[in-house]
Amino acid sequence: DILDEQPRAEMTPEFFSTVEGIESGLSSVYSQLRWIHGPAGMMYLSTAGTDEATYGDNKDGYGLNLDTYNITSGNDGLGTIWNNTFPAINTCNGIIEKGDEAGVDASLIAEAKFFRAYNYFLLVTTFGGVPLDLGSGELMFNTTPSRYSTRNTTQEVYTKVIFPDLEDAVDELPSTPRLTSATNKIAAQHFLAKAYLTYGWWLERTGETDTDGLTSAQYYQMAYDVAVAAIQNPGPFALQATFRDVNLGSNDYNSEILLCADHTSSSYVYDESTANSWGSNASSNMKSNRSSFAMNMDFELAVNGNKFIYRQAIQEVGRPWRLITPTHEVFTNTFPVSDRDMDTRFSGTFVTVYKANYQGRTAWDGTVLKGMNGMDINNGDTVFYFPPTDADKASLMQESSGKFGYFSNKAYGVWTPSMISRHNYPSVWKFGPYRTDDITPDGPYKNDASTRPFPIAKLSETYLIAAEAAVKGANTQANYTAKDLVNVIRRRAGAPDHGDDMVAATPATIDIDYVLMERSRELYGENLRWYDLTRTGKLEEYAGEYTICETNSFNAVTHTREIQSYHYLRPIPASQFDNMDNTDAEKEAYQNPGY
Amino acid sequence: TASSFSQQSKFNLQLKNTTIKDVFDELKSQSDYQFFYSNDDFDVSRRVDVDLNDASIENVLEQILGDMDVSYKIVDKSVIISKSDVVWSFDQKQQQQQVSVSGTVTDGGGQPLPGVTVVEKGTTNGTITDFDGKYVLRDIAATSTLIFSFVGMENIEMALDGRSLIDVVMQEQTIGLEEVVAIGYGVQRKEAVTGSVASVGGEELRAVASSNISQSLQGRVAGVEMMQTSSRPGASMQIRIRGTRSLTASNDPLIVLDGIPFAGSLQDINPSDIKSLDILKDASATAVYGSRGANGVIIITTFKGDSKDKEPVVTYSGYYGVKSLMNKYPMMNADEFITWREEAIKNGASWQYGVDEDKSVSTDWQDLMFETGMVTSHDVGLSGSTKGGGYSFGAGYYDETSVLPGQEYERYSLRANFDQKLGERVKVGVSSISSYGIVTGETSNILGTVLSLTPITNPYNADGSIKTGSLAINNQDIGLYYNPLMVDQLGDKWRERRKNFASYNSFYGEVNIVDGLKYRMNLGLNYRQSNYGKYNGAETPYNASTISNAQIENVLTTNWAVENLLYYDKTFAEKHTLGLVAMYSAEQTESNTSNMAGQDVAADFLQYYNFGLLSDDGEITVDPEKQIYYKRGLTSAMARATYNYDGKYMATATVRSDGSSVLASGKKWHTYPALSVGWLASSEEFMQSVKWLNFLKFRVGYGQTSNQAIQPYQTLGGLSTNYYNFGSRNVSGYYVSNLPNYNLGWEYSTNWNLAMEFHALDNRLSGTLEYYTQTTKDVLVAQSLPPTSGVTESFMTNIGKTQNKGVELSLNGNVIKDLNGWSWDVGVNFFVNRNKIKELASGQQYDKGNGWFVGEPIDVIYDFKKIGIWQKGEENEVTKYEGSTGEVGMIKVEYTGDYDAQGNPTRQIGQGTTLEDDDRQILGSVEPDFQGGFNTRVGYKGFDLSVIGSFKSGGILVSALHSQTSYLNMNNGRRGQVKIDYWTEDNPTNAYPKPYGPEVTNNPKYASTLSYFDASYVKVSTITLAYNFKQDWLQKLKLNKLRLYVTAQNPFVFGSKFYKETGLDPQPNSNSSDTSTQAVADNAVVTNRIQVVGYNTPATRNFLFGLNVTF
Repeated sequence: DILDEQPRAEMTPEFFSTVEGIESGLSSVYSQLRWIHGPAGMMYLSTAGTDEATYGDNKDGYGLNLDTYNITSGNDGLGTIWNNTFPAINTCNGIIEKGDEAGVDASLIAEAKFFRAYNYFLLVTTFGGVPLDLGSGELMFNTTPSRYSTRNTTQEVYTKVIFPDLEDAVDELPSTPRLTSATNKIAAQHFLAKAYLTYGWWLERTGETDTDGLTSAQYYQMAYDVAVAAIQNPGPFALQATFRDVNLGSNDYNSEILLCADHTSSSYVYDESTANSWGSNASSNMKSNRSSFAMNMDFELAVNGNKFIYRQAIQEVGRPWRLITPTHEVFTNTFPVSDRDMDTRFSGTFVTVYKANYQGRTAWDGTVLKGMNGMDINNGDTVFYFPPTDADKASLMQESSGKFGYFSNKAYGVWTPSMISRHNYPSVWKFGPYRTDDITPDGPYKNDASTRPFPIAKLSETYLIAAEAAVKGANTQANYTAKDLVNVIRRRAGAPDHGDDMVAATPATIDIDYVLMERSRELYGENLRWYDLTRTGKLEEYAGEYTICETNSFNAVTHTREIQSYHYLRPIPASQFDNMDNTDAEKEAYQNPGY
Repeated sequence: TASSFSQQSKFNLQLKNTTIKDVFDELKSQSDYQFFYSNDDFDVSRRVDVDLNDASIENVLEQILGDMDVSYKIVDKSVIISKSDVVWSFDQKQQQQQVSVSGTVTDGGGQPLPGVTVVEKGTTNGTITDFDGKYVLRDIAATSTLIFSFVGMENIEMALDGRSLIDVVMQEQTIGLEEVVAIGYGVQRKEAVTGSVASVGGEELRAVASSNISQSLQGRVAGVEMMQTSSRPGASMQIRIRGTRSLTASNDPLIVLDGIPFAGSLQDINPSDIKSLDILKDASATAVYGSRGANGVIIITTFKGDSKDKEPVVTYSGYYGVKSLMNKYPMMNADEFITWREEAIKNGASWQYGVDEDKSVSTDWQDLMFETGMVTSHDVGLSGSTKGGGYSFGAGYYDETSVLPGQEYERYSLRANFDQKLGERVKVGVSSISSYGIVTGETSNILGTVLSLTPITNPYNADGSIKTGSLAINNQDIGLYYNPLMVDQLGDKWRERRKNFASYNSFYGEVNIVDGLKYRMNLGLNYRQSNYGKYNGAETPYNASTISNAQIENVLTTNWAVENLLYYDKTFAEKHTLGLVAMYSAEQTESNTSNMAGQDVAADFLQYYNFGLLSDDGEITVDPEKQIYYKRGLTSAMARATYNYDGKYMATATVRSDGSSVLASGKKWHTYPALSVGWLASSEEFMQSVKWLNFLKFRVGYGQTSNQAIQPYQTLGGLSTNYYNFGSRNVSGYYVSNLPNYNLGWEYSTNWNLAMEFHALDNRLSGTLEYYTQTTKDVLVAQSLPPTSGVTESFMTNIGKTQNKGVELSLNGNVIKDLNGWSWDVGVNFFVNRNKIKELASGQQYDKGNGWFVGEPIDVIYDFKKIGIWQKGEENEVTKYEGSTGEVGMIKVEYTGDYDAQGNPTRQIGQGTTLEDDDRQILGSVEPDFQGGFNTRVGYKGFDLSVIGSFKSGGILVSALHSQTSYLNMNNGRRGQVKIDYWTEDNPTNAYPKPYGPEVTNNPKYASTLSYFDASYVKVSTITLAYNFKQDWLQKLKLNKLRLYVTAQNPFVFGSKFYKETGLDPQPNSNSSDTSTQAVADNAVVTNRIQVVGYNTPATRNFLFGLNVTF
């Protein structure tokens, strides 16, 4: 009959009731992580607008507005989380609902539970309570097109989904991941502990009551217990010997990474990126890992009219694109100069010396170029340098176009800490690209996004979660006090020679501020800071002021951010309201207060 | 003698409502009388009643001509009828210097024409041609002019000029009341049509030289709007008949080619093959096509052979033209740009001078890139007859290039029609059109690079050679733009070509079962293959990447249709004429698209020809979204009755049932009726005294139609694919992206059409006035869902109601008719369509995601309203509205919220969530207040001059060039910049913001508000001056017809503010979804339903020389 339909080039939702369908559905949930971890949207949402960073001179308009807390519901960055979590949640709903019947292994269903909880946790910490019913009923696989939406409360999101799902995931997931980068029991414990901790803080900060009648202290205790259980039985996971090893490109997929948003250099298709991929707009539908250029300063600046550093797919170089800039306080407070001899985390996070690579280009004509003072710069010679202090600032001369300072007897350009600007700053080394196929300067992949996995959870953070729970009053086990836990991390940071120095420098009493600073040193730029500061109620205190120089200026200015209590939640984005059939009054109530 | 002969003939006549011409025919059949008259002297199609027995010829003539201002004379067996004021030379017997003249009269097909009246002008000296078309006229003045007239033919005047042999070829009249129009599954005399049908002759279409008839139709028919979706050679047009009604389903009209619904693309049809085109506009007319005709129907009839036993006729027509740029894009020159960038830097922009830039350089990239394009067309036709049949063949070639390198459209076309009678009762015919089109450069757009480069960038090395690397147009954008002058040296590094091969074939067989009852079968078999390939070598102006890429796509579409028809025609009791048609039909279309892309091709010369030969790091991509398969079917039954009473009252009733595969089970079938009635008021007795009014008809039509023009498989939901890697293991993922709708059904429209047609002042002024309403309910809508649904794509549903109302007026006037060799015709049409969304889903007042608002037109612009620029002194004010990032010099938009007691706004701009507190507002519609077209033709002897144009008043024109997605209005000194009147402290304009104010993703905040212009314009699209060679010259050349012409296209634009500011064509050149032309306006604001000005191939002025010959 010519009126019957049989599609042949597309899949229909029935496929979701088969084992193959469910397994590929789970893969799609992992793929959703790439929307969030790697692109600029999340970096603006979580790193800019805190003490860790401000906007760079290539910033996007929405990034500027997030950084300055001039946030409206039309801000494009909000969609990074709002638009990309619900599809993953729905897929998880489908897997959880249909998995048993289709005969899917329980551990795969547990992965779906993990990700449903993970996505809800991201939502609730960003926006507060969000819908549990996507259209077909609470936590049901949505097959009903509905343009009506109701928000659940924060308590409901935690107690109906995040806790039970993660508790199940802890029980049912294997410690050893099914595949590289797949989730696992330890990651589930990590996030369950963090969720308990965050909820405990929330109850304490807001004075709200838990629907299950538990107190914040009880949640701190649960957080501590789960985190310590993970630390004590970490399965195949373990801390790396040195801090640098954690983030070294050649050491990707190391034992410290509990969960990542994976990427590959083997295929643009499977990496979901394109050659030359540029663009930083959160709404431009890009899933490639652009962390490698979001915080990379302009090293292509001409020195004495010559360009010495070409883009290159190695961790120290990459591709410059100044969306986000570390603040001066990062170099004075977070990573104090006095600690840098013993604490390897500064040098394991930033690039402070930029070296020439121009002679490695295939197009190099053999001419040795001259830097400042007419001095030769050969490959490997310093082109730019960020000295640790302002000691030499007075003796610096200014280059003719006023972009950097230089010494009268050195070939390279210099910015002292107080000269760090939105244009020139120590780039974040951790995120630099790493490839093995072709790393020629000016080579074919110089403009590509990073093909490295972006870390989402590390075992080191599990220690800091446990420590934070302990600081908040959880009863600790022997040898697992807040200080014990922090010291494990600090000792490793001092490795190989300064572990003991680091432990010796730890204050007698660990308070929340100390944990927060330790978190920033350990996990700088890793999409966590805004969440750390809002969780602990420290946003105004830590992010209210920062110092930076504007582009081509050496005038350090301290800026104030007008942070209000309502800024602890982000506005529900306009795209939600634009597609909702709720009444205007319901829409008004749907939005978070203050927006 | 004459009188005795006449007195001997007695007639018995009982004729009701019969044209005078038919009465004459009846008289001729009863006697040997011949009738001589000029069509111009009186209306032979006027209907009369005759009831006489045993009457003389004079009695009959008195009765039928009695009240008309004519007199007659009977000479021998000839009856000569003329205006009363003619002085009969028979009576005066004036004899002057006399000569004799003779000759042969033939028709356009070379057949002799018997019965043609040949009269010496100004006298009643005359004769008629004999059976062989020959005539002899004796004793006429040597200085006289002969007038040849024949019913249905154009009169010819020919001065003797001393000749004694004058042969003439008479051409058929193309206009007049006897015109027949196609109404779908049949034809009808124009005067009997009750639906809204507009007809355009092939000649009129060809008055505008173009590759595609939709370009020729622009401005020709009231209610029919053509919009170009791209200005490149070979691009298609968007056709809308009486506005837009569906929100998501197709609004494209149905094309019917030689009786079969056309399954292809209009660009496959060579305009030279078209004999006539009829457009069915209202539901009562389109009802026979059911759901296929919901958006109007365009019936195309190609040339057919003539079975009237004619000699073969060969025609050639061709033209060649040059295309030159109308105006350059309005970019800043070097001085303007330097001032601009300095200002941006002063305001904090980080865009400094690049190494390829030099303030002493002044490069006009557009001058360097634009060249002269050309267009040429050649068509040969052959038609003739066989015994009981006729044939017509045609072959055509068309080639067009652009003012930009690498853009071309070429087409070869073939046509064959053959009809043959088999015995008395059976007739068969085939019709076939094949076309092979080649489009080069359909998406590659070098203009993006040309316009983005700064005017201070030097394209040349010091030695004068062309720089071949990338150009640094500031200190940071390195490797983004390669020198566009390289384009001529690319060789194998670039190719983009689409080849379309299409073959459209139909066959019919017709059997006369008994008198009045006829069976007909139509078979259609169509095939279209499209083969696309694109290759971009690394590091070219088309591809700044260091990696090459290639793509191929193959689309194969096949379609079949079967229609079984029964016709029954009968006249009862003389006055009742009934026509019945019944049809049962089925059709099915199947299409399959395969698409593959590859990166890092091993060598440039391989281009897109072998994806197996990639370099080691190369990769093949088979994007599942681009592999398409569908099969859709439609089964229909239809019945139509036409009834005519006495030539005065007529009615058409139609009922049709359609079953469609694309709708949900249980919702597939729908039946709908249509009815229209007409009244030919001018045939009523009481109207006979109104001499100035020759024709007056009223008609009313009502009908339902429905639409199912959505993509197949929408009722089933769908999954999308994404990808991931677990370490080195690459995997594919699926997730639900489309929700199923098990209730998806038909979209219905109810239409009313009221019309009046008239001819007045001796048929020299004619016109049609129509009013219509269309209400469409259960509109097919791709409804987007909130992100919280967890489903990323919209779902197809039936919601809401839309309405179109409109008025159409067409007037045609014959201002000067044959006055000293001069003639002048004027045609104008004017139409208004008002479209409105009446309802969305129940209770829903707006759908901002789709840009739909109840009570507003479908295509509105919903955006912030720019009210100026924040000026100096408003530093405090601006931060109240814009927050801490507000600055003077930025765009000031209207705030629609509340104020507190201190008079300060209670919130920042753009913070709202509902319609009320969202500062965006409806700025207006893209639909014009009114629009139309005009054409005029002045003839003098063999010359004629025609002018064709169109106009539009009101509506919003979106210039993506000025918008926020454009890289040309970045406002920060980064790249080439559109020339604008921008704000500085010394130039406190309210037009454009300061360089480098607050930005959203590289463009000024609220930049979209800079893109709205008034869409009004008047445009003269074509001026043609032609010369038709005189008959006697042609005789010597052994030609039947020779016409030479010159044409200017797009010579003038008036009344457009956009044209005045930018010099650009005010007609949009791109679809707003076209990424290759940076026409992608902000999707939240300008949906991709809208045509906009992007940086596409610019409009050109063309000069053509052409020639038409008939052998």
